Amino acid sequence: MTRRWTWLLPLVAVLLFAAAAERNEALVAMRGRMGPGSGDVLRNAPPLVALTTVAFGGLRGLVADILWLRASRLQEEGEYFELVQLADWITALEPRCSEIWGFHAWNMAYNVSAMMSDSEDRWRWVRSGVELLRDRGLTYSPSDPKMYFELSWLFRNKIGHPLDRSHMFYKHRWAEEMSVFFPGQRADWPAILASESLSGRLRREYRMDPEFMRQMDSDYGPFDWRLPDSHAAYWALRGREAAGRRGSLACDRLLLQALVSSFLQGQLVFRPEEGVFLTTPNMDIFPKVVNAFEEAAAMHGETTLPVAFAGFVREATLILYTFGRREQAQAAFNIMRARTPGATGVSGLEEFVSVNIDRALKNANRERVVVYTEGFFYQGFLWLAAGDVDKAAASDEMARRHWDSYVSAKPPESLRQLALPALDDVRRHAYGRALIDLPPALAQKLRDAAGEGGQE
Amino acid sequence: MLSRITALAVLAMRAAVRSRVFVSTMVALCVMIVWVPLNVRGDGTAAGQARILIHYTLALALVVAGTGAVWTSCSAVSQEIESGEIRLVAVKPVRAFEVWAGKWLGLMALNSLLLLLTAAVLCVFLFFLTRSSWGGDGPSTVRERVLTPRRMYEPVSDAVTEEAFLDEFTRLREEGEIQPGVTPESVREPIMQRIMARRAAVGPGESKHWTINVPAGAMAWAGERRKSFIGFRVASASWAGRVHGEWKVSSPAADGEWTVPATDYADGYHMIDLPGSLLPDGGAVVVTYLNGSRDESDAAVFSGKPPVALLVPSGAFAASLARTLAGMLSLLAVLTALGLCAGTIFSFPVAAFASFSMVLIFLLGRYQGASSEPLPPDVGFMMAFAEGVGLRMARVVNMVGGPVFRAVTIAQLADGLAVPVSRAVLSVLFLAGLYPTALGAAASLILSRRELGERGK
Repeated sequence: MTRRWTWLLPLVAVLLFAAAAERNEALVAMRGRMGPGSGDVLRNAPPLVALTTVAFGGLRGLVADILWLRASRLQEEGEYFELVQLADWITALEPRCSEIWGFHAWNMAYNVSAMMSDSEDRWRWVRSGVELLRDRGLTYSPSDPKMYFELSWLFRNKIGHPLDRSHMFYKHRWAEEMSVFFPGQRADWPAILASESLSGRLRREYRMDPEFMRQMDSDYGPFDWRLPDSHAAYWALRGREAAGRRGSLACDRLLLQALVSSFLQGQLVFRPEEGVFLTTPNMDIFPKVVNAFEEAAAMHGETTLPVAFAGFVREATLILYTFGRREQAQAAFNIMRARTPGATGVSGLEEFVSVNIDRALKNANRERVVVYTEGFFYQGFLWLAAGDVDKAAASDEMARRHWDSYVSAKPPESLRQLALPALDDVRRHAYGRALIDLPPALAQKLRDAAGEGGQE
Repeated sequence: MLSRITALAVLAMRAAVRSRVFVSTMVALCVMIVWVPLNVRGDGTAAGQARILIHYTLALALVVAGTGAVWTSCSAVSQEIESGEIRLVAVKPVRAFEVWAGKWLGLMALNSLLLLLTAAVLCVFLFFLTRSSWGGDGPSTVRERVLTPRRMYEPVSDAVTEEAFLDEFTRLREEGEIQPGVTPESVREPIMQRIMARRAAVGPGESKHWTINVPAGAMAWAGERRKSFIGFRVASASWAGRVHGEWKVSSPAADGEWTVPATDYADGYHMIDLPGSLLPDGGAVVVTYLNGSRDESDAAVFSGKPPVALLVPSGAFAASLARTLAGMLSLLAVLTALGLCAGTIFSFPVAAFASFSMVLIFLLGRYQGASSEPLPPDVGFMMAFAEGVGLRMARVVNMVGGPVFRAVTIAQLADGLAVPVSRAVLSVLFLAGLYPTALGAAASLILSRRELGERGK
């Protein structure tokens, strides 16, 4: 090109930049339509993340791959000290890819934690997984429901389930942390919302919105916020909110699972100094769980939700009946019959319970065996208050037989991992529950008959 | 001759310090070595933080200083030739090799300065880390596990003998697992792997022992405050991952036997403390693992290489750090020599491109040269030929470049392992001596035959 035309080059460059800028808006909008969450501009990102995502351009995937290879190699060699940093960098290079966040959080919480002998070390890695998603992932992709799903799953499955041999340690540590905000089974929302230090800490350290939690307590609870299932429900609900009108079936499923679990074991008796960590049913939330199922079924019109709902109502009928809540059990039974006419194959509630209770007891898992045992003890205390010593003894005997048959079928190693509460603690709690539920006169009769602590 | 080289080295240093490349390298290095320790995240333990701090600070310093060394050295000769400044030296009674050596020494002095700066900053951060209020016994763990270098002693070789291989082959053939007509050679690899896997496993109720020879004088640094460890990598043979048993350590040369329960080891690397008085200063140590019964333990697989190792304190951290720095400096010596050599032959851009390409080839050659995966027999002649040539080239590259990168012992230092004096001495002699001398000789020859009088040639 001759010198005469060189001046044209900057002009052409400017025109091309202008054309690119003009198309950019349309391209961003198109990306937003084709991949939810990927179209919007990266908000809330610190300068370093914003810089790396822009500076590396298309090469950032390659850099992420190299870092990922290093992370995999180090993990194979058992060198874990660098993994948090590598996960930070990989996710910073692809901040909007929820699969990457999910993978690294899951890797730390499940794979790496399992390599540690010490429960404290394991818990540190589980926390690292939670923190990666909660403190960083959600900052960059606050509108991606998948991110909330992954976080909710960690609370529900890793901390909440008895799969990990250190699961009781995790539960204890989480309950201890949460006891600062929620010292009892019910949250004192006026006090928490009025206290800037408490609500501020919830926002800053745990990224939780106290106002949203209060509303959730009123819509789906009340929850015992010291339990991981309550947090699983919280993050699933936030995911559903993030999904907006299109909804998120995955988050709804997790929410329903967490609610069912809260029904079964949503109240905590926690006395760390005595080593007591006993979860008991939170039967008050039954109508709200029913509503949540109906909401989800209406939104998604999906076939597995009614099946899960039928299973829940069937189980709830038996549990409510076992705990002497005959009216609620009848209501649950009616719902079941209305939804699946003929499926029960029985004429009434009593017949349904007598036909199904044996099978339910036989198939009970850890959480259910505690629920049913407490239910039988509770029944026994009601009979005792009513003055029927024989029936009380029969219920007590039923509770112990059920407990023993479950425990004796498990090998010692499995029992150690399940970390069942002490049977006396379960019985004591059933006694306490009976004293609260009974009218004062009958409660006094129970006290007289059973003695303090329910030990006749 | 020495005074001429020294004078040229000072000139090269002055020129380099005035160049924007060196200033940029210096700034980048300063930013890196301060920014990295303040921002890098370990696994939440003080020991993990110390390890990542050592690893990242030194590795990033090496990358920055190495890039700067190649760049600066490429420009040191080539730009002087291009600008004609070299004529000021060429007309003086100095030999081409003296010019080259002077420049190399000058640049190496600057490289040393950069590494010393890095080491000083690293030491400051480590000092604060060992005095920080990191939870629990963090600072003491850092001192004990990371800042006390340990020498690793491996068990006596457990290699599979030819006799054991043939016994296994015969047994498998008799049991019908190997078809008649199959030769031992064709199944050597899987049978060897099978034998090794069986040896690595200790079933429930079984035991296994390893003999480790400790040389005389090895325990000089060990004591009550500086403990020795047994390090091992274990994997359980089931999903439940229970490994539960007992370790016994004894030595014919020392009194007594020491026993420690192995309680519920999860899959991974573990270390157990040994009392200082137990180990002999010279002699054999027998390490035995007795696996628990079937009710309490699964089969334990000692999958590490080595499966079990004795880790004995050896020297001070400062000494290991100094040896690591010597290795890093040796690598920089090769890179500087390479850049100077390329700058002697080519113009600056070509020299920089050629030097960085060579570094890249050496880096990739480490992986390709190490691979020996045979091609399937049904590939064509051309493919097999190309593969053969490529593999041989990679092996040559690996043979030449391998020692350059093996001199770097940053990972060892960060893992709390001692860097032996012999390794540092070999690095210095081989990399800072042999390689630069060879490259310097070639460059001097070219420089002495090159017409330096005309600009741009």
